[in-house]
Amino acid sequence: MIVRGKIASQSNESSGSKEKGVRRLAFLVAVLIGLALVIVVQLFRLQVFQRAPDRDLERALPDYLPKVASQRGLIIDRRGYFLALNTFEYDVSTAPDLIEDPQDAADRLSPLLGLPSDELLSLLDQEWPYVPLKQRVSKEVAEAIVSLGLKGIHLEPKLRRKYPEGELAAHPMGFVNYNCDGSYGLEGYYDRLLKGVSTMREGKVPRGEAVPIVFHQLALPQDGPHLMLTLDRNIQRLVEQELAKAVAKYDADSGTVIVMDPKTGAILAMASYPSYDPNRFYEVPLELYNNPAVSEQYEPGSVFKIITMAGGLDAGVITPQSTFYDSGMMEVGERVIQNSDRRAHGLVTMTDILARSLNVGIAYVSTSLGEERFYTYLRRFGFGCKTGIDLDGEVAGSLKVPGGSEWSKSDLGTNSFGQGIAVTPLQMITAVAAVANRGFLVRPYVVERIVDNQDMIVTQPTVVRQAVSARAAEQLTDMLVEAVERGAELATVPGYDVAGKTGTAQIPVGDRYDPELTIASFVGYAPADDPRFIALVRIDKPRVDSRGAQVAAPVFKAIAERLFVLLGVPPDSIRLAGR
Amino acid sequence: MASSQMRSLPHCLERGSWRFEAKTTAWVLLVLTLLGLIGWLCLTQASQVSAARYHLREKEEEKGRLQRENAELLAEIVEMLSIPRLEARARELGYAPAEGLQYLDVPDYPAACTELCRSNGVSGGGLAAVPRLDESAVVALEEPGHKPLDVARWWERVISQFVAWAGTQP
Repeated sequence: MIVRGKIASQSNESSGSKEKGVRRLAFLVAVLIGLALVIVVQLFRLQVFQRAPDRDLERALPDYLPKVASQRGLIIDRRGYFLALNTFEYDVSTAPDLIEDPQDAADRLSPLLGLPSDELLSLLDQEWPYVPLKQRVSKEVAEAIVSLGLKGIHLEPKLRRKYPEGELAAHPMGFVNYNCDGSYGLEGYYDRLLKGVSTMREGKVPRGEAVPIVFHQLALPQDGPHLMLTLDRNIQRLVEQELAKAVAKYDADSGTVIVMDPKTGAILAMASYPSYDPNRFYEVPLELYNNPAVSEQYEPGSVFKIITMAGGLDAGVITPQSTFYDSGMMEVGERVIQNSDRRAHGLVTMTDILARSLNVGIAYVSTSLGEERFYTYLRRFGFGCKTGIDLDGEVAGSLKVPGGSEWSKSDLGTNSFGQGIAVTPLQMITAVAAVANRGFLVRPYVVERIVDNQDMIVTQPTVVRQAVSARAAEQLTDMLVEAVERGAELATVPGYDVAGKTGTAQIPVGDRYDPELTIASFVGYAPADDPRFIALVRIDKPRVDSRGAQVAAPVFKAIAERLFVLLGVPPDSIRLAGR
Repeated sequence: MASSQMRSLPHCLERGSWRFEAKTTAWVLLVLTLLGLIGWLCLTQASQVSAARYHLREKEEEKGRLQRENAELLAEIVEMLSIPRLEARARELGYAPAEGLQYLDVPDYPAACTELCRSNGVSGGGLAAVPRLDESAVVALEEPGHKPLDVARWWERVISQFVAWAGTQP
């Protein structure tokens, strides 16, 4: 019994201890459940009752979608010198709630940012999570700001295009604006290519945090390829200097010079004056942005006689030795055409017509050709169409053709010597280049190679068509050499045969021509038998002298003399001695 | 019995006949351990992702900084190679633009060599242009039967001609 009682007592004790354990465990479970309930209630309160403000906060967080910017491709001249590259400027901003002492920060930032301390203080005291302070500060200023060690001041690098040669080749280059968009010239034409492919990220950055909550990058950015140009900075510099000197010397308004390789169409230099510094494009009037070489039309005047003569020779209606009796005037349509000197020159050859620049004589050629053939030749030489150069802003010029509402019979006469037709300087030089290139019209181009990390695309010279036969082109070249020797002595370069033609074009003002102001021009190529370059010089409204032979021809000579050295062309006697 | 062994904790509480069954406790502990392990793995991974994100961010910033530094250095080099700077430096060193060039007529000057020199002539600073070799010129020099150039003799002639020319100059 005792044993049984003991056992019973032990059993009672054991069951009491178990009950105690159960109670303790139940208490623990109850506490845990209670805590869990508290958490659930809190979550419910935050998610349901306070959801709206939190969502607002969430909305206030910036979407972390900054572009992972690609680097814009560089622009390099034919010799490997950089004409456009990338540097960086910095946008300064602040997160005002992270600023510990706004007054102190304003005082220290004020001299660096060039803003009054009061103005800065008002910006630093704002409620917004992000406040921009100043855009586009230099690297030096950015470094000075970093050295201040201020919390809550953020510097964001921004790409800035830099043109290390300043004004050099500004017109063919164009510029890149603050949004990194290329405008005008090469920067505009190749903008999408140069930009490369930026990529996007998805996510959010909580305010005051540096690391995004969500992070997803779609792809790696692809930098833009580099452009290697046909432009030669040394030739460009030479051309710009000579052009600026000529505009000043002849008291002209403006001018344009283009130098091209007539065999390939590669543009070696393209300059217009006045120009601008693309680094500070925002300081000049919008009109200066246009590239007159491709986007400005003008009546070319007597240089256009080359084209008429080429047509006449090719069609066989004349030969260089053909003669014509110049009575000093000729009626074409309802208009009487006269020579610029208002004189009759008697019996003249076709070469005389070019050398003396006789309007009546060249009108004889165009009328001999007839409307259909004459305008067919103009189209073959590319007039009335864009040349297709890889530059922004090219225009097609203006060519009236028979059957058109504006065309009249007299245009057949006036167009022959470059009146009543509007061309761009590039169209004019491209057309004459066809004569230099045995009759083959080539497409002008500025980008020789497009280079990226993996590929290189080389521009192949493109023959558009054969405008005239090689024989006609060669005959005309000989005539043009004589024309320079007899009619434009100031364009001759001792030791070299230069083929070319002067032009003194009147400027249309309303329904008539300006009685005094002209456009003086010269287009020529050398060496005549194997041209290494062709150059067009156009000087607008020279006041010291109005004639192309006096104003534009000397500019051509100055450029040609140096070009022979830069291109390594020895005089004809040396060059031809080895043949 | 398996069913009684597998009784769950709430079931035991409901019945009010809680007993410390070793196997049930083991199951509970196993589940808790697994949950803990999963939680630990999740936390570790989250922490590693977070650390990697910081690391990536740092590397990206460094890459951006180096790119900017490169760009600035390139800009400085190009600035130093700009025409006005080079011109000014050349003038300081006493150089002047070449004028009054004289060309010598060298008899038997190999035309193929002229072409070859011309085609290789373009070179530059900065990103150097690729020299273009005129293959036709090379072929012309190596054609069978083509007389090899006696460079030494040719140079002698050039120099003697130059000396003679120099003697004629005032």
